[in-house]
Amino acid sequence: MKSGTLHSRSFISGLSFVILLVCACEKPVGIEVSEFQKKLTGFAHIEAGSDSASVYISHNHDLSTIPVYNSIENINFEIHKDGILIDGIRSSTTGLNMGRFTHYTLHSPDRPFEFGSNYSIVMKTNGEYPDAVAEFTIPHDPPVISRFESLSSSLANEVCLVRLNDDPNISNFYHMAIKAIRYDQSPEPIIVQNISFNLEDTNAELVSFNTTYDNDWNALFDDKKGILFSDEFFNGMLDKDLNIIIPKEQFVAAKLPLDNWSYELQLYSVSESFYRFHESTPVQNEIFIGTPVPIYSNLTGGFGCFSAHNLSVKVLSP
Amino acid sequence: MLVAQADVLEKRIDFSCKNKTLKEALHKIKKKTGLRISYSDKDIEGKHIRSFKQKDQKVRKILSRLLRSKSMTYQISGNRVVVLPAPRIPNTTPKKHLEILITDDKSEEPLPGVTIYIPQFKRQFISTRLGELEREFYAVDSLRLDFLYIGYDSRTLIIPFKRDTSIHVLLAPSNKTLTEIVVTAPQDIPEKDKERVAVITSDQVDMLRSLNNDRDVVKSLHLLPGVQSGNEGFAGLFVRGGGMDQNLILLDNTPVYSATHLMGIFSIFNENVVGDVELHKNSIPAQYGGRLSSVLDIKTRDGDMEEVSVTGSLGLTTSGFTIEGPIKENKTSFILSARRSWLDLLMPSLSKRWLNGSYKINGRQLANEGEARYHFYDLNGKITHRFSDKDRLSISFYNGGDRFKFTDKFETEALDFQSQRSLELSWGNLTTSVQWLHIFNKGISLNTTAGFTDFRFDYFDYNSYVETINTATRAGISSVQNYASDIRDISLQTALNIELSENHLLSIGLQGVRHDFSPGINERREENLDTLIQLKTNFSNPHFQANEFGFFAQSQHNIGKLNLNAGIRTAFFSIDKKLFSTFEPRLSTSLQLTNQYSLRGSYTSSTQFLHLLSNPNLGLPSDLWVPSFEDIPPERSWQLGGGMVWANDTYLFSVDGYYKRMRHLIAINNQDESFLRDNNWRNATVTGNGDAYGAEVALAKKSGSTTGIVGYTLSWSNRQFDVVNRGNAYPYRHDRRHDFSVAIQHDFNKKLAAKADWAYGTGNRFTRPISKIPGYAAYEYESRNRSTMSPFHRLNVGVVIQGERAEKFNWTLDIGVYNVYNRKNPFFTYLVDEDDSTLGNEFNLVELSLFPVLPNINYSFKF
Repeated sequence: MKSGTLHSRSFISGLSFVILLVCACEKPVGIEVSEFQKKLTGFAHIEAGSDSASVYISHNHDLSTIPVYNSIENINFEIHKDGILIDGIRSSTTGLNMGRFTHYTLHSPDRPFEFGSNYSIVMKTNGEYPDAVAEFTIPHDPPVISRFESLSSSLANEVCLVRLNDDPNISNFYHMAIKAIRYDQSPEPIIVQNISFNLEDTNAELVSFNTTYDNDWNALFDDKKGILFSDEFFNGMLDKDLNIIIPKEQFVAAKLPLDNWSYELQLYSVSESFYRFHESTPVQNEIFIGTPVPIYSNLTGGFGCFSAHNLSVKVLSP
Repeated sequence: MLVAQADVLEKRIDFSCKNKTLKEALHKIKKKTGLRISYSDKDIEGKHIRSFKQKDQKVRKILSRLLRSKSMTYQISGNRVVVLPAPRIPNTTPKKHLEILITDDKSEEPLPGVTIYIPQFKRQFISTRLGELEREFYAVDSLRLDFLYIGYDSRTLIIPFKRDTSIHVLLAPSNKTLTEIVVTAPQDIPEKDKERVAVITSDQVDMLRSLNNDRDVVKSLHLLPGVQSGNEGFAGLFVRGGGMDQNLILLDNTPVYSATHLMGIFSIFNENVVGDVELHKNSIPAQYGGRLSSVLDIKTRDGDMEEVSVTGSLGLTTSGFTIEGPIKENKTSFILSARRSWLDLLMPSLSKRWLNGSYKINGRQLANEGEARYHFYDLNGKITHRFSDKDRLSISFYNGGDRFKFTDKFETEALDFQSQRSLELSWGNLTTSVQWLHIFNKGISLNTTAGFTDFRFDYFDYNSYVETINTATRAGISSVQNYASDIRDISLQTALNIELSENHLLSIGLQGVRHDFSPGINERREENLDTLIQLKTNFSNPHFQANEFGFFAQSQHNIGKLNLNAGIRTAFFSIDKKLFSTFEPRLSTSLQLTNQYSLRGSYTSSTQFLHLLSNPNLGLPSDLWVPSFEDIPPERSWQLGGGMVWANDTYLFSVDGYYKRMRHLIAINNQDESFLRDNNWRNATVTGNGDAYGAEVALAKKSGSTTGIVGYTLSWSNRQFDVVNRGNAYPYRHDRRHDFSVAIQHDFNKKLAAKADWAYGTGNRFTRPISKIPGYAAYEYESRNRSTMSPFHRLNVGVVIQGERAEKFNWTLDIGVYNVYNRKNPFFTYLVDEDDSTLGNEFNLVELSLFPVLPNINYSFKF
């Protein structure tokens, strides 16, 4: 979470406590649905260069009744690349019901999703829902990790240095994840686990992005661990050195050994839509006494987030 | 020697005598001043003084008044003052001299600005700063004098007026709860006060003490039409559709940036030291600037120049103690006051009950011990020194704050795992001001103030865990996180007041302020207990400095029945090589149609260079004051107002209307305003516009054993931001369509009074969730602030008993009940989402209320 929010959670916890001590009491009031309109909700996260995309479709529901999620089948998808309709895109299924979501796989064997291109995907349901249009950009090149090395290791922490390269001419958004890998005698790892870590600025100028996000929908990352940040803190610099601090407490809790781990650094360059979406979800979830803010969506006529990523990987051996 | 006697006559003293002969009175003056007084026993024989009091008055005048009341006069002869019978004045003398001194009947403080109306001559006068009036009138058999003064009972005297006359008039504070109805500025209040939309004196504040026994000056203002609390039971100030940050709150001419304790439930103003209080909301005089909606100008009172006294109060939530008295009699005085809340006596035991327990985490059984403490405090002090009749200096300070501490400890029974947390929050104000008043000569004075104000918020969070691994190895981390934000001003201002004539006052002044902003400094330290590796990180918003310079000129002119207050204010604000400027015309006028009817109108233009990034509901200490920048320009507004007043000695009725337009208001886009800002607050800040309009009606009964006020406001307040609510205008959160209050007090006798008040208001606006979006764990919301919470209404009752245990020991007992019928007034609304895919979803919109029926008791004393 962001550092500001970190403070805020504690702060609000404290103040909440004070409020509750002043004899707070609650009274239910009615739910009104006068402005409710059923709309499509869609999510997709597409790997740059891939010729297929998983799309998850659902709909919103009003709050006055117990919701029933209807499977949404027979959606017609139209994919536009840089404003031009692409033919030959087809859905692998007519919709696979996954409970709240209906899953589609879009195939485009001859037209992989290209780096740096703008896409819009139009979803039509023959009038059952308003048409929804998702617009997003595939990130340019994969991110560059020029250094990844250990600075110190103890029973409490593993401290690593990572140097990232950034193109100052365009806005970049990143997701960083780390896998701890343990090998035995065989070349195949015996343990692979996404781990928690902190990211800090070595120049002590700015650290505000130890953000672990968490959301229901997860098409990209296995167990929701990672750090999402923008390149704002690069301040126009080409390189940025950061410290990665891996607390060993998590190994203790999982009854795993504390040493001899390989660490696989996964750095995703993600669409701005992905960053904006995840930036806005904790804000709305944490509202206590503030003003509700609309959650980010890049679907016109509906809700959701369509985005894409490029991946770079670097491994630090023990 | 003659010169020396003349000096003595010009010396200012306090003098009083009761049931004395004139001879004894003269002897007392002689003893007190060293003045040589000669008289003939025969001339003064049989002359008695029943009661005569003068405070801080020249010996010459004391002597003159004392003797004139007994048809005597005096002459200076050689080195003596010779007392003589007054010469008989021929009946043919067309005019006689009338000299009036008006003071408070208890404190003997002179009352400036009292309206003295003489129906026979259809003339109206205002008492001077020393509570005096000297005029000549044609002799008549009897002269009727009507005295009117805000916060005091009106008084009518009929005196014989065939010769020169000197009278001392004592006015009694209106022993009524609701005399702040002067908001309507009746035509009978002093002309110079007509511009004031609301004026509450300290005596009225005493009377306005709320039934929860906090004689809170800010809460008492909520009874005025057009002034809202924001949330029921809170001390916020929302004036005519403006935000909480749009009020300039001054304490001894120095701004206070956060004027509440406990998130807004209490104001920081300790009633024991509050002196003059003025609220300007119709028109803002030109000497004030920097806020859009109103000015709340609070002066602390001076300590008693003659006697040491002690005041104390014991209440359920707070207690206070005040001591005041002379350092050098009639020259230098002091007042020192402290107030503290009692919540921390109650909280530890409650919090322990709530926090302590045993939990199973990661397969381990952990015992938890926790505790929370909270208190707030206020310290006020003031030293006043009179160098001479023409120079007076006062130094005042205020220090107050809130402290919250939360500690929490988890550990296993075997102590192989320990986790500790200590969270401390503190915030508060420090203000200091040095005020110097210099009087050049009659009618010209210079008022200069040097001020310092600082508001600081600190956050400290300590976390540590220590774990024993394999019975020998220990691992652990301790971390400390600090956050601080701060705004600090150093200011110098001076105003020159020139009375061009008795009907024309000209004021000009200069103001300079140096602002220092530290809108968020973070520091994080982490230490590995095993390897002793230390990490230290700082990250913060940039520190800003800004300079503000202002100039104003203002003319208050009475032209017949027309009162005109015209002013201009210009100000410059420089920051980061950017200079903002503003030119603000101000106009306020009133026209007295008859003795009872008057009309008034005003136009005010204002600019606000500082913005508050805030939670819209509460006065959270984490709110940040930030300056204007090129991309966040100053907020600007203009307001047009007009009204009518009808008043007589007993009743007052007023109707006012207003329209206010605001530009460059700020909002945080797509951020939850309840949290601390992160580092990109400038990027998240958006600007927009707003307007507010409405009508205010007030009816008050000002005198008699039963007094009361009824106030009603019908109002609208809207906002429009290009990037909020799809660019559509939407209602402001505190858009309150109807606001009604009625308050009554009945005095059974001087020792017993009962009072009750009832208030009703449309609920605050809020944004209702209308659908849930799968995958988001979030909601779709209706258009911004489309819904209203349930209306609030609340009845308070109470009795006040006053007593005297000894000659100089007075006590007051307040007993009351807050929210008599236990109305659950909404504080805020939120959605309870019991979302469970196996059980189905359940949603409830819930209103949370804070203050149920509460008994109140407060005992205060003075000796």
